[in-house]
Amino acid sequence: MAMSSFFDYPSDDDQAVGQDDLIFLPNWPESRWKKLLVYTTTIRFAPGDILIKSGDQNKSFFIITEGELEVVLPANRNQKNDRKITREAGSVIGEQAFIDGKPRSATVKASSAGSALKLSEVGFDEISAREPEIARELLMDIARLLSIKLRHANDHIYRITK
Amino acid sequence: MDNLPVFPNYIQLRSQSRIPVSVWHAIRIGSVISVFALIATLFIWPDVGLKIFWGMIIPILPALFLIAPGIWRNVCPVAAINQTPRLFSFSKEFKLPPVLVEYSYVIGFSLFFSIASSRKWLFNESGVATGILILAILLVAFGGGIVFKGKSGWCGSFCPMLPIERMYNQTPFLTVANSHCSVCVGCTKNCYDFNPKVGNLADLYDDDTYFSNYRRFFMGTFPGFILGFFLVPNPPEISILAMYVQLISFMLGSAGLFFVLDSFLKVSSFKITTVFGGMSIFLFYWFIVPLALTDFVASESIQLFVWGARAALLSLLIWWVQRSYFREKQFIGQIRPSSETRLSAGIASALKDATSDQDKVEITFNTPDPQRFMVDSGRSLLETAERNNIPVEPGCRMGVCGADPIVVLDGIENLSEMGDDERDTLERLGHGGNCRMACMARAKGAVNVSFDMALADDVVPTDGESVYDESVENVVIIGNGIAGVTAADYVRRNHPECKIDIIGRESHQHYNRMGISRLIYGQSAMKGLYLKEDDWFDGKNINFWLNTIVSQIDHDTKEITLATNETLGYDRLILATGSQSFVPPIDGFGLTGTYVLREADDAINIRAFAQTHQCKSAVVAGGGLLGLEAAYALHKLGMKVTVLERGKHLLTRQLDPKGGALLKNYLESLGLNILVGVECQSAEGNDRLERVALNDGKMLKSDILLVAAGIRPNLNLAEEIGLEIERGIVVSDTMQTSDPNIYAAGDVCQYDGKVYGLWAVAVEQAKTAAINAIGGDYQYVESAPSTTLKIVGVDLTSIGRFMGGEDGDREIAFEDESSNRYKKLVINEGVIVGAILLGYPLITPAVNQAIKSGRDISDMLEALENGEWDCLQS
Repeated sequence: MAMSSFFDYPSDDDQAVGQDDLIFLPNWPESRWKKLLVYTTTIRFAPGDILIKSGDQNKSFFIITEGELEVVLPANRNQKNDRKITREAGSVIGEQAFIDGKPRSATVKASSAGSALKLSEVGFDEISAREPEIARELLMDIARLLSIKLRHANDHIYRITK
Repeated sequence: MDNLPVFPNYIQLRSQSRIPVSVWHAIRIGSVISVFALIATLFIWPDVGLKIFWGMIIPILPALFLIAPGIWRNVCPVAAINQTPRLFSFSKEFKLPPVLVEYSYVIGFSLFFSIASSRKWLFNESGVATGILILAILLVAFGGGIVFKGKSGWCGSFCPMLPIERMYNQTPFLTVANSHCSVCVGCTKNCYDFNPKVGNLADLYDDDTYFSNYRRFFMGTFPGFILGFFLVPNPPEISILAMYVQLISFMLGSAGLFFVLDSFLKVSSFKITTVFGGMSIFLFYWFIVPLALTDFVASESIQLFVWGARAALLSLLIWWVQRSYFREKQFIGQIRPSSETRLSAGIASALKDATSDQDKVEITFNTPDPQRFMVDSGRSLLETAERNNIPVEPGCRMGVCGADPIVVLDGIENLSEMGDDERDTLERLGHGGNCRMACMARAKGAVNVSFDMALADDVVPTDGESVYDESVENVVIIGNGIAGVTAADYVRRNHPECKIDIIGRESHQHYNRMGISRLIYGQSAMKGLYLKEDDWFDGKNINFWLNTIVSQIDHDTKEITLATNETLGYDRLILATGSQSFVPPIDGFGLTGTYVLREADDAINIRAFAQTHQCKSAVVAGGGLLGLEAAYALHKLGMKVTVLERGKHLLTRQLDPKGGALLKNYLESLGLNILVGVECQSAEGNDRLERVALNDGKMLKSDILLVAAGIRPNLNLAEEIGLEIERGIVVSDTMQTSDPNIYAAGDVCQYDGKVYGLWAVAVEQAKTAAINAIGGDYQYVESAPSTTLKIVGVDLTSIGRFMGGEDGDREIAFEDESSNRYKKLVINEGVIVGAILLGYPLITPAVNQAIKSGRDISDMLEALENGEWDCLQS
């Protein structure tokens, strides 16, 4: 629950994984990640490069391995300015469009030089055929993460609406 | 107060506190002594005691709660008494029973209302009663401290002042850290002492609506209570009962107003409770200020001071409300759950290390935003683009069809060398020195490329002396496929003057026939499949006839007649009529829902049919290249697809049984259903296809039947005029037919006993036919045919005599069953004569090159036997 964190003891063990934490494939050993890497492409970016463009339609997600990117969410009716969120190495982005194939909701722009791993639909099809176990675990985990996000979103809506 | 979060907890606050806990202990000893002194005073000199307690201490508390509530939490004598058992470790530390946890707040505010309202007839006047009251509270708090853990025995639960503190202390101007709890024992929900700035917000936003409604009720009622307290006459002016009834009606009125506002105002409850809290303080001091000031200020100027104090208070409260609203916004921002997905610690850096740049090259696509990829050295530009959703329309993947030209902006020297096929294609397309075909160009170093052909260099005209026969004035080409268009191009290149007519039966401009399966699942229809700009033929002065059928050829008068009855005379005629799909005898073929796939219109019709009838399943008869590509296309469209292969394995013309089995595994894992050794016997259904019957008696439910059983040359015209024909039009090595004025090229012709039906062959034959037709001299040289399967992820290439088994053949083969990969070489007398590469795109060009060049690889045999095939690249 998001609220309880206000009343939690600050922990030294920041990496402790809770059930509701959005950690991608928390139990995968390095060997499994390396198998996945065969089917990803490494993308390099320089400050200002656009990794994802709002409105684009392609099924792929990215794992940032180096550097920092800015997620720019389009302004809504009440907000004059775009909202910005920062994502840095270790962050996974774009997994929602990877599943539903809908147009990208935000533009992701590099704010520093860095690199990311991209898994496209084609790459995923190939893993499914060559390493079905990896593909199944990957898919189940993305589904789990999206489900947690949905729960969080529902809780949040419940809290802020009367 | 640097580096603190917006809502710091007491440990974080304490780390920044300037007052040590020991000082607080000392102050508390003082406050406990004072409270006993006060009680004594109340008993001995009630007037003085009452004045001090009700007249001075109590009126100060709301202001203290508002400004620096933490001070009172630390110095309150009742709290000090309550915490004594804990401090000296004689507390039993029981958990508060659930029913008391549920109602402690209700008990607290009930106590408050009872005590405060009883001031009006009892406590205000009676020092003894007040003294006993304080003593009783101290006793109960002490008892609570002995029995219950932490502050749950009084301070965090039943304390009658707690609801008021909560209401006023939500946005303190001065935050003071809790000095009681050395270790939090988790005794109280949403504990103010743990996180002072968030307690009230957390209460009101709590998921448990009973929990938050108790708080709403109290805060909604409180301004009414205060108003009633000051406005309702004190007994004995009215009876005690009347006083309580009136007071309660003030409270209910206030609560009623609150719930009306809460129901109708489109704001959070917190916004309303904050205003009600502010109102309570304001009302309290509105009445207190004049009373207090009379003791200190001369009566003539009192009004000025009273109104001044009220105005100052109002400003302070408005500021306080604003601060509270801002705090609420921050709070909502923090309770919004994080939507960030992350890797567990360590994995991110491990991944970074694992993806080091060693053996990688950087390919930048300007699309138009630059996208830069690090790929294995030797990857083709096309593969990289396809894998990364960069829009590209591949064709033959052999550099001959011209579907994927690309402009190299930087690093052209870092690309693999250009072969003859590719050079010819670029020349045909009219693209200059900075261009490559994406399928052929493999990156060995950093390159920067763009698909925007406007950036291409202009072609530098070659000064080659073209040899041509001036007496040839009219060239007619029948067929607008790759053979026909290539022939027209080479006629024009070598003969700047003659009239060229090219006659196409289809209604489309020259397009990428190898891409038509994409028409089935892709959304861009013909866009991207056209291989020539609209004005290309005009620019070359080539007269193009679309949607036109040639009805007959008169080779005596050298004239052709169109089905429109127009006639065209020729000096040379080039037949490039191509081929059509062969359909073996299948009962019921022709029923709606049965198709072949040869032309763009076939694919367009299949897509339309699949949509109109919401087709769910399809059967593809034929497990050759086209059949598999079509099956994959239907699969991508979302259908359940079954492939029927008559032979013992897939791709009998490209694979041996082992390779066929591995490919079958792979395609089945992609989701295709593959049956080998069976044939389609009949198509059944009423208005449209419903079932497909197989020769083994099985029946497959299906909406679509697509037959891909091979091709047959279109020989009608040639037959009519009696050209020499076997399986195709027989041609010499100049592509001349048995009529010296008629040449043939592509799928329709038969050279050295073979009819290929391959693009690369058609291009070479068309070039040969064109040059020779206008008087040049050019011999056709047959090369080992190379074919690829265009299903993403398959990476299959089959070259030459891949089956082996002839005298002196030596085979080297490796298979990787777990990942369905297979590689095989057939070597004869030290030369590689055939190969199968399934899942090895990086070594494909080297193997291809070794076969084409026919070089001796005897010295590499040992390495090849050990699976070290990289040596071929040297």
